[in-house]
Amino acid sequence: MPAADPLSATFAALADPTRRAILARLGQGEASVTELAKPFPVSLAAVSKHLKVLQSAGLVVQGREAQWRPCRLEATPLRGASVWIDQYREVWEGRLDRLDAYLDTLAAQESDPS
Amino acid sequence: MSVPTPSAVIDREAVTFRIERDFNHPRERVFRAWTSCEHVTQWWGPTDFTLPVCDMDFRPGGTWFYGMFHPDFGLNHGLMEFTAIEAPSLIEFVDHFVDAERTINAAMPSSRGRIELHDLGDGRTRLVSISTYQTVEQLDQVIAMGMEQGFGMTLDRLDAHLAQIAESASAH
Repeated sequence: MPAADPLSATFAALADPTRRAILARLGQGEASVTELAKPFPVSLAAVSKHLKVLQSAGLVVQGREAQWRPCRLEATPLRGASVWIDQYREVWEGRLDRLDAYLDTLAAQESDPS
Repeated sequence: MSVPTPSAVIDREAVTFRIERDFNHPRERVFRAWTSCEHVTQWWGPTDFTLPVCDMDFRPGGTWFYGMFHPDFGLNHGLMEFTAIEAPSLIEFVDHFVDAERTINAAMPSSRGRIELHDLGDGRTRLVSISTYQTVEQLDQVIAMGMEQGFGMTLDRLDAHLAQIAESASAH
C-alpha cells in the first residue's frame, strides 16, 4: 500500500496480524528471516514480503554485519501512532469518568424526587 | 511488544478503537444519560470543553448537532446521525465533522461509533465503545488535525511509554 507520509506507513504496516506478530517477536531481540518465518504457516517469501513493508515503514532494520543479516525492531515510528492512540484513549477515559460522576447525580435525583 | 494499548485494535480493513468501562449503575440509567441534551451536556466533553451548542433528536435516523467549546481551541462542531438505537442496550451512529451551519465537511473522514451496554447483574453495567475509521488514510487525517489542536496530549506520559517500548526492544 503506497503511503504518503510516515504515519500512514506506520498504521498500514501495523494493519496486519502477521506483521504485528513479527514486531512482537523482534521486541524480544534480533532474529534472522528464517527464525522469524518459523512460527508462521506461510512461505519464507511471504514473510520476506511482510518484512519489506515493515522496513519501508521504518519499523524494522536489517543489519549488514553478519551473514544471517539479523532483523531489529526500530521503535521510533511508533511514536506517531502512539500519540494518536493515547489521545483517543484520553478523550474517552475523561468522558467516561464524567459520565460516571453524572450517573451518581442521576441516582441521587431518583432517590430524592423533590 | 503489542500494538501500544489493549484498548486499540488495528484491523486489516479498518482501524477500530475499543474502550470498556464498568459502572455501578443499572443499564437503564446509563442509557438515559445519552438520550437528551440535558444529560449529555453534563459529561460529553472532552475534558475542559463545554457543550454550549446542543440539539438532539434521539431516535433512529435522528441527529445530534453539537458545538464543543474550549478557550484555547474555540468552538468545534460535530454532527452525529443515529443509525440504530435499541433501548437500553445499543446506540450506533456516524460522526461527521461539520461547520456552524451543519454542513458536513466532506474533506474530513466520518467515523462510525457503537455504544454497547451490557447488564452485569447486581445493578452494574459494562459500557463498550467501538469507533471505526474505514481506512488508515482517513485515520491519518484525523491524527494530523488532532495534533494541530493539541487535544489532550500528555507528552510526558507518551515519552515514558516510548521509553518502555525502546527498552523492551533493546532487551535481549
